[in-house]
Amino acid sequence: MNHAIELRLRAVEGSIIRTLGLAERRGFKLERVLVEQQAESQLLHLVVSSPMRSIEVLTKQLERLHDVIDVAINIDQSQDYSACAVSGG
Amino acid sequence: MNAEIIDPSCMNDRAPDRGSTPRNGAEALLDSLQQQGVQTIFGYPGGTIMPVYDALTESPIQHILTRHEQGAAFAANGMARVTGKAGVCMATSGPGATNLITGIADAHLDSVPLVAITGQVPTPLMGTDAFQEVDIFGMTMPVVKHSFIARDSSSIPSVVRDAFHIAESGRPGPVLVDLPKDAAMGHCHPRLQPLDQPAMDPIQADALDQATRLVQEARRPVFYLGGGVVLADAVDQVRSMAADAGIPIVATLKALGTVPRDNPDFMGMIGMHGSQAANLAVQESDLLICIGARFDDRATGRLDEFAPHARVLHFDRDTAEVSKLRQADVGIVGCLREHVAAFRPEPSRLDTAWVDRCRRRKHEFAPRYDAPGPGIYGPALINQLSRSRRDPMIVSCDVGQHQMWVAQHWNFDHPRHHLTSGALGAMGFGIPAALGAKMACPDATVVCVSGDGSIMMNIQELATLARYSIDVKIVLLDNSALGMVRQWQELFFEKNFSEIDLSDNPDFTSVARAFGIDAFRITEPGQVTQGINRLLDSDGPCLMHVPIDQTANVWPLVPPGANNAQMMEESTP
Ligand SMILES: Cc1ncc(C[n+]2csc(CCOP(=O)(O)OP(=O)(O)O)c2C)c(N)n1
Ligand SMILES: [Mg+2]
Repeated sequence: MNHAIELRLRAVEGSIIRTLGLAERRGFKLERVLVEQQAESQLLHLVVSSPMRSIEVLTKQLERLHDVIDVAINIDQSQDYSACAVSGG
Repeated sequence: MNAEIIDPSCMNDRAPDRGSTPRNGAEALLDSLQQQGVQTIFGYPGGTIMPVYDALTESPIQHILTRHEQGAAFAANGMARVTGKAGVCMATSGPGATNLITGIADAHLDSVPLVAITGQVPTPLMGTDAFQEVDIFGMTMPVVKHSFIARDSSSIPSVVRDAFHIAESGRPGPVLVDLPKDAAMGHCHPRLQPLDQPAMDPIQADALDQATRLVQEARRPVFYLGGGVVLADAVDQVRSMAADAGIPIVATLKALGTVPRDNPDFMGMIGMHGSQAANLAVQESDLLICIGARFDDRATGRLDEFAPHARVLHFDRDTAEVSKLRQADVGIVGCLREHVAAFRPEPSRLDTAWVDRCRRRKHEFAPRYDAPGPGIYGPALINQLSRSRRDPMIVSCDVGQHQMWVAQHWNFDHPRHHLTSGALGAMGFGIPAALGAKMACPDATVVCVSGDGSIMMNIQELATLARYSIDVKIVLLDNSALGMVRQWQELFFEKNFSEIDLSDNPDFTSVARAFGIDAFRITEPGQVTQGINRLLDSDGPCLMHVPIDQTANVWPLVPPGANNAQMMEESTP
C-alpha cells in the first residue's frame, strides 16, 4: 500500500539523504520524492510503500531524526506530483 | 578538477602562530570539549586532523594514543558505558575515519553516548577524491544518532555543544563531527546560539492508571527489564519497585545486574542463552511489564510465539520502540526513571502457586559447576572470579561463548559494571572497552574476559595498557577455536567444521610479555583459586591464559526458529 508522508526538515547538510536512507533501510520503497526549499526549512513529500512494515512505526522513526521538525501522514493520495520534477536548490 | 578554486592556504601544513588570538578552529574544538567536561580523548593522528593534535599539546585534556582507531572508538565507548557521559574518540580522515566505524555502530546499536571526531580534507578539496578523502558523513549515516560537518571554523563551538547534547539526551547514541582541515585552521569567532531546551516530558498519568489496572487484572505478570533501565539511571527505582511487587523478574543481556542474582524473584536472563526459569516465566505470563527493552530477536526467540498469552505494558524513552515488534496494550513513553518511580504495581489477583513454581524452577535449572572432564571449566572460573572481590568489579567481555558464560555466571552488582557488545556483537570490544572503563573508574577492579579469537582483533591495545600502565586484568579463555561458531556448526550444520580451528594460536603469554604485560598460564582446576588471586593481586595489567576444553558449549540454548520454551539442554541428543 502507498502512503504519502510530508516532512518538514531543517535546511542542513544531509537531512534529505538521512531521511530517505532511513525510509529505505527500514523496508520502504520510495515511490515518489519531491523536495521544496523554503525560507528556513525544506519540505519533503514522500510516497512510500511496504508489503510488511508499519507506516506508524516508520513515522516515529523519522520523527526521532534530529533534522526532522515534523511529520504528517497524508492520506490524500490524489495529489499529482508528476508535473513537478524535483525542485529546489 | 579546477585548480583555481582551491585556495592553497587551506593545504598549508604549517602550525598557526602560537599565542595569537583569536583562536583557531582546532583550539576552539578543544576548549569546547573541555567545557563539556571532557578529560580524556582516545585517538590516533594523521594528516587532516593535525591542527587538532597541534593544539592538543597546549590543552589540559589527556589524549590516549591507542594503536588502532577501532581501539579508540571502543575505549571511548567503554568509558561512556560506565559513566553515562559521552566518550570521545578522534581520528584522521580516510582510513582513520573508516577504522572508527565499528565502534560507532556498536554505540548506535547499544545506545551508548559517543562523540567521534574525524579530520576531513579541506573543504575546497571535498568531493574531488582527494588524498584520504572518504565521505565518512555519508558512510556513517545509518549508524549514528546524528552527524555534522563543521565546515566553518566559527560553527565549531556550537557543533560541539549540540553533539554532546544529542549524544547524551533522550535515548543516547553516537554523534559524528567531521572537521575539514581548513575549518580546524581558520579563525574561530564563536557564534553560540542558545540551545533549545526540549520540553520535559510530562508524566503520563492516564497511561499509568491504565498500567496499574492491567497489573491488578493480571494473574501471572512478569517484569521484563532491558538496557533502557540503565540508560535512564533508573536502576534504584526499578529495584525498589520490584522489591515491593513480589512478581517474577527477567532481564535482557543489557539489564543484568539491575536485580541481584540471588533475589528469589529474579529468574535470570531471557533469550537464546538465557535461563529456562526466565524463558518459561515469560512464556507462561499473562502480562509482560517491559521496561526499556525492545523485543530484540536474541531475547524473544521466535517472535510470534513469544509470551503468547501476555498482554504488554511497555515503558520506554523512545516512542519508536513501543509497538515496533510487539503491539503494546499500554505504552508509556518518557523518562523511565520518573515513570517507574511513580508506578506502584499491585498485583491483587496474583497466581501465587505459579510464582512459587517459577521460584522452584529457578533452583531446578540453576547452573551446575561440576563439569566432567579433567580441565578447567570456564563457567566455574567466571563465577568464582566474580565472587572473589568485594570492591566494585567491572567486567568487559569479547564476543563468543566466553561472553555468554559471563552473562550466565557472573555475579553482577550493577548493570554499568557489565560491558558487553550486545546488539552488534563485535569481537575485539573487550580489551579497549576495559581500558576506557579503567580510565573512568581508576578505583574499580576491571577485568576483561576474552577468547582466543576475539583477543587477536585488538591485541595491539596491550601496548596501550602497557604504555599508560592501565591496570586491566585479562582472563583469556582459550579453546583453540572460534568456539561459538564451532558450537553452531556442531549443533546445526552436522559437525561440518569450517574455518573455526585456531590450534596454531601464538603463545599468548609470550605475546603479552612482548608487549610489556605480565602474563601466566593455569591448566588445572586446582590452580584456579591461586590463579585468580595472582591475577587480581598483580601490580598493573596482567593476562591469565586459561586453556579450556573445546567441546564445552554454552547451555541452555534456544535453537534458531524455535520459541523460548523449546530450549535445548546439554543432554538433549
Ligand atoms: C568482528 C566479528 N567477526 C565475526 C564475528 C562472528 N563470531 C561470533 S562469535 C565468534 C567466535 C569467537 O571466538 P572466541 O573469541 O575465541 O570466543 P569463543 O566463542 O571461543 O569463546 C565469531 C567468529 C563477530 N561476532 N565479530
Ligand atoms: Mg575461542
